[in-house]
Amino acid sequence: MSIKIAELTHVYDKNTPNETIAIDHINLVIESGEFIGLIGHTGSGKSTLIQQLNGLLKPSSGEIIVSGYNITDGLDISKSNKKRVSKAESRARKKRLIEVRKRVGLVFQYPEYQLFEETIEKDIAFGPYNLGLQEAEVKKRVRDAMQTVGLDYDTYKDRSPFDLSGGQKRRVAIAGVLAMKPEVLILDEPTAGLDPKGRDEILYQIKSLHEKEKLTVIIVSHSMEDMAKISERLIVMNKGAVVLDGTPKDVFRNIELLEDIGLAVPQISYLVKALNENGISIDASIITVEEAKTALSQLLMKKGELC
Amino acid sequence: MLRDITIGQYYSVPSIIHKMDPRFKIIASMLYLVSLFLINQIIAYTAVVVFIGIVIKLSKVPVNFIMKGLKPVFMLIIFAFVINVFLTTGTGDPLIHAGFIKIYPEGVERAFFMAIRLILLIIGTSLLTLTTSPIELTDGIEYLLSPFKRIGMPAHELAMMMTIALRFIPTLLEETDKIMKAQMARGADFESGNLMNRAKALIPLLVPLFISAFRRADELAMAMEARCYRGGEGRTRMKVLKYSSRDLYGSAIMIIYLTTCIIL
Repeated sequence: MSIKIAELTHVYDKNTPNETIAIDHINLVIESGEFIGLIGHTGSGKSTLIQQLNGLLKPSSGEIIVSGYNITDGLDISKSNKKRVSKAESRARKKRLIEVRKRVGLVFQYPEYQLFEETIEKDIAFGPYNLGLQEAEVKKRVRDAMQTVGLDYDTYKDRSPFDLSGGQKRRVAIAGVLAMKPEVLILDEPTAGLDPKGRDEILYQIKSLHEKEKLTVIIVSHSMEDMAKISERLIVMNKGAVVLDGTPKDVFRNIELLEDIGLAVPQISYLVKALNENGISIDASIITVEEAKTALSQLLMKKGELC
Repeated sequence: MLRDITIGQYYSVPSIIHKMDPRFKIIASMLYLVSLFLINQIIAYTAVVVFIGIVIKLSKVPVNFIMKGLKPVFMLIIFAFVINVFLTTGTGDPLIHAGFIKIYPEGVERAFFMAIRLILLIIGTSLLTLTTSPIELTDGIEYLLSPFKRIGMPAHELAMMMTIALRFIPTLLEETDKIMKAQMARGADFESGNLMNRAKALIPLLVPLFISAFRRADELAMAMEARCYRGGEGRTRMKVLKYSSRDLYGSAIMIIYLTTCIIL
């Protein structure tokens, strides 16, 4: 299922002195099964964009179509025309929103702060119950979701989510969204504030989820290294607009542009660039440590033969 | 949805009133309140209106901004007016006599005064908060309460508590908004259903909010302690409150105002 974003614009505090344009006429098509990294400086409009995709924010203009459901049309209940929205209409709107949230799962930054139930099982079940599912189905989904994030169901189901470590709490929160079985999973900096081990575990789990279930994944991140490693398509945002969109290799070639907008490229890209400038020719599209390792050892081997 | 709420309606413009000493402003507005309830002549009220008009003009706060603050209490004013009109019994003949409803001229007069008093009272107090930032206000309160330290009143601690509470209102609002969105993304519905359902729907919002408030309090306490905070004893301030010529003029005007009120 695809997401189509057309001429999307979002303005905060419209018609006040604080008016800020968060998103400025964005056009994007996201195909089913893509693994997308969304990067951009703080305040570039990433968070606003992902909230639009879930119907949490209503755009000022433009539309988003998620697998045939237009989630921006008719959702507007602004104060001026509040009376005109009939009960049936608002019910239809709610239904459509539920349809969208079934399909698009959004995990916020620091999701562990949204946990509230007494047990982990109950907390993860919160989302599925809200979708109106039966108890047996909910239980099955909770079990599956916990397995996906690497928490043993029988050991953890009756424990309080507040007794867990930071990384485990985050996995419970992510499981809470996964249990809703979305087709598109959006994560806002899922690795922020985690130790290297926890970070790798979460990224690995997301990646394998993407491969196994053919889930469309959109990750917002500040780590260029992580994005180079796992994403298949990178979207770079600056000041509310998409400035670069392509494979990580293509995107990270634009070192100057990325630095201009306050971002960076993976450290390996800097190394490759420096090597090329100093007369050692090496493939300029190398962005991960693994690739660099193979290329450099090949280069050294060749040199060895020559000597 | 929580973005529209503005708390602590400080209106930041540079004006003489804004720059006055907060202690003076607090005392002056208290005296103003007392004066409102002492006077009961129509001519005295004109003096009050002229006085408050001058203060508004000097403070550079737009008049309709102040009037907006009156809106929420408008119902209360109407209510007070109606109650006074109907329930005051006078000595003379009633103005209108229809069944059990009797309206006396005294009632109308009293209702009228009551409404004016309430309006002036709200304008006066909102002027204080509009022209004094919350931090200045608590500073002023701390100074004014410090004589009571002798009898065991923790003036500094009270002021510190107020400062912290005010400081965290916007933070907690932001947090609420964030948690609300996160739970809505999980299908929570805060907007429909009957009262019972709505109250229940608040649990996923309130539990994380309380937890984060406690966590923040903990962290703040730790940070304060790490910087050797140990209460008000011997503490110096970054901004020392000083009476200036501005406040002298202010006091003079206040005295003139009070004497006018008393004479009238």
